[in-house]
Amino acid sequence: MQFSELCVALDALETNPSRIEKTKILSDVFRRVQGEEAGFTVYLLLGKLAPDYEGIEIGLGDKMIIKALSTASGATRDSVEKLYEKLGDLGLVAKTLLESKRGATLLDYVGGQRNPLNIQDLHAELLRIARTSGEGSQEEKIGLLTRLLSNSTPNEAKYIARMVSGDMRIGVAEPTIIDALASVYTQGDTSLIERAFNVSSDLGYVAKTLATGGVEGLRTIKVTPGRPLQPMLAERAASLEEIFERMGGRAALEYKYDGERMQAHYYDSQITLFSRRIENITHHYPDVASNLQEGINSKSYIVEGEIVAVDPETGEMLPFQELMHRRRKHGVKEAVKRYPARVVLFDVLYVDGVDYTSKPYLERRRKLEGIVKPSEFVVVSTATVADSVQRAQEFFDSAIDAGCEGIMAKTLDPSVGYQAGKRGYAWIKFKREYKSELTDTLDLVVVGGFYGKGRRAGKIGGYLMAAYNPSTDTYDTVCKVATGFSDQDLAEIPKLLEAYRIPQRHPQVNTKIEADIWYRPAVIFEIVGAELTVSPMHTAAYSKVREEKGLAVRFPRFTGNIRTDKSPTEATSVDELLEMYNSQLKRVEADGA
Amino acid sequence: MIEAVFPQAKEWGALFSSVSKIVDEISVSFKKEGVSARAMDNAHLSMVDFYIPKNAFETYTVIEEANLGIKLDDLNSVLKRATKNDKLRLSFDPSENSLVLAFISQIKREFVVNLIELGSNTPPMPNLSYEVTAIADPTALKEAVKDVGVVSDFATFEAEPNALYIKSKSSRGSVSLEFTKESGYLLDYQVKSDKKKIRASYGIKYLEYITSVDEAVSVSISFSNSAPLKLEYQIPGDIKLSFLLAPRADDE
Repeated sequence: MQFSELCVALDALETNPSRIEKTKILSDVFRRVQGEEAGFTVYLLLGKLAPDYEGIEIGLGDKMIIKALSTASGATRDSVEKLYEKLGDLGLVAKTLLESKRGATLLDYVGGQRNPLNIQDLHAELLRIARTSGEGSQEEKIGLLTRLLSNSTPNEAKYIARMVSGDMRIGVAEPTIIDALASVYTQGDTSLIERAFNVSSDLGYVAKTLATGGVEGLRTIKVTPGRPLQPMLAERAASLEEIFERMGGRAALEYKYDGERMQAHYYDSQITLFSRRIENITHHYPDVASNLQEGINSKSYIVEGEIVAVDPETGEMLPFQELMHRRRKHGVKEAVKRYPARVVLFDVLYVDGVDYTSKPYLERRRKLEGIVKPSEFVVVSTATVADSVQRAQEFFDSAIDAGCEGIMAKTLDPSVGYQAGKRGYAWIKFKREYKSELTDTLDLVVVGGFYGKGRRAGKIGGYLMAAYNPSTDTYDTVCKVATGFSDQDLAEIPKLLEAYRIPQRHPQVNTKIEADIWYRPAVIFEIVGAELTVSPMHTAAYSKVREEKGLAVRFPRFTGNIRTDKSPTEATSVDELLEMYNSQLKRVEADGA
Repeated sequence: MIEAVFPQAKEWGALFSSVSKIVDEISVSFKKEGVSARAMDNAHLSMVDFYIPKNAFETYTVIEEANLGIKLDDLNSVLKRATKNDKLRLSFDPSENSLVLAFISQIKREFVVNLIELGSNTPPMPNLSYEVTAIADPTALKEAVKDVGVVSDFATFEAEPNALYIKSKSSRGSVSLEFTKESGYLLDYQVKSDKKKIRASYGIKYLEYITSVDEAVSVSISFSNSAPLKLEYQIPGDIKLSFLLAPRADDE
């Protein structure tokens, strides 16, 4: 199919806001394109060159496109920029410029013919621009685009410019294309096409398969390592009661970890990690990739999990923000060291030739537990099966206490498999509704100590911290702190505390936690944290916010200050904590995750 | 079978270095009467055309005419190795897909450049008549283009009866250069038009490319209203090197 023919359809798509009309226009296009062309056409309609997971980008900024337009049209860069300011769309700029250009190429003087551009050639040419890399590649990309634009008609140039600038402005996304393909190939039944897309994440491939092999061909599209699946998505529930109502009184529950969701594909001794949005993120997480290869006993697999940042000293989970240090192009090695990551696996979709997506939750979970060798950096999510709200509430509280953002409930219905690309009540997320951000530092009293692990083995690596409760004259615990200590602190602080060491818990210390070492309340650390949370483990403000729960500091960190100027009764009081909790309490914003 | 000896290797170097500013590859035609090539750049905005007559060579033997596809990067890196008094001997044997270049002075240095497959689609030369023709000093033209490049990305050539102007303006400012016969910069100047002003604009980048020709003794500048610009360089050894450049839309 000639690109000029497709441009006529693109114009119609642009001016027709109705989805039904768009579907008709696209159906007409798919009836006319043939074989492989159908795939290229889908990519071009979506303003892409390949499926997202291949990460192929044209890599031309507005400035470069303007340069190419200036050369191809003969207008000065100044005037191209002015026109862009006025029209706000490089596509319209290209069209306007090429319409008004007068004899700007030599072909106009030699009576040369423009070679009409077909879809396949256009796709190949754009791919060539995208793949040009290395020294001097910017100029080469501009040169290739200039040639493409000078050989095209004004209307073709409009869509080429939009394509390279990354926005087709025709209001077409995957669902409309699926509808159109369905009306051409499956009498309007979208389910087969959707399924093929959801297990391959490559609509161009689906269209090509339909155009070359028809519906029969479509059945050959299977879950395949290397080709990411669209993730199964969860609905949310307002209460734990609602979850049990929807799940029929019994559900599997898992911690919902505060990290980055990823899908790992392993085959031919190669591992690839994909993000939730199906981008290849392997190079951000080389440690996760190699830990997974060590930690899973199979020749080929697709597993899903959450990558979480952990404290390099204590191995405790850190907030999601810490993981963002890992999303970088350069200095990955350094980032791996400073911000180590753990992968918490929660599902398996494929193992050694077997598609697990059609199998029910419990079978997948058993398989997952069977293939994973848990280690410090590869674990399986904490899970349970619950049949009461009370049990779920306990599980939820322990999840929050462990640094998670909530829980996931998953259906135990044996007829429900992994529904790639679908959002439904087979999975329900339940997150904290409120959180109380901690803006101030706290002055907390050291009441106990814990021996460290790893690098800190044999040394005291963490401390049990308490707030003062003036009404009972006790020290009620708020957190364990193990982060923020320098090497010098780790050497010096135990010496300083040695004078206060006692053989058992001090009678004024009110705690549910058994420490390795006990101290007489005397020394005050300045502590910062992310927020105050309700905790079953700690005793500060006990039963004040929730029955039989205390308040705790989430992600506590030692600031380096020992408040020698304060006596323990001058430490932050539980009433102050309570006031901070209430005054900072804010609704957790929906994040659409 | 081709064998030819050119007296000045460096002049070939100058020629092909200019050609390579516009195209990466070129098909060079060795005919009985001489050597020629013509090519258009990818964007179809400029054309290069050269001709070296047979009698410019010391010896010139073409038994079977041939078009040789040359990758200019490869050829230029060899030609750059020429020193001042080197002669250049070219030989091509149709059974080998390569061109042998030898620099001949006291010692003989021989390089083999592999050829590439190129279609023999030589673009036709547009049939244009020019209202303005000026013969100028190549260095003066090169410097003028550099001056204009300071201000803008295009240059307007404007002919009045007694002077040729090269001008430009942009949001940054403006520039105007005057060339007359009296100043000595124009060796000849003819305007065949009754129109008061003849003007056309051209992209500065291409002008920079095509005015970078070294070793030329003179350049003839020809243009008409909003029409292509032709620059024809005279290079010693009877080499004729010319460029054609498409006009830009006028920006006023």
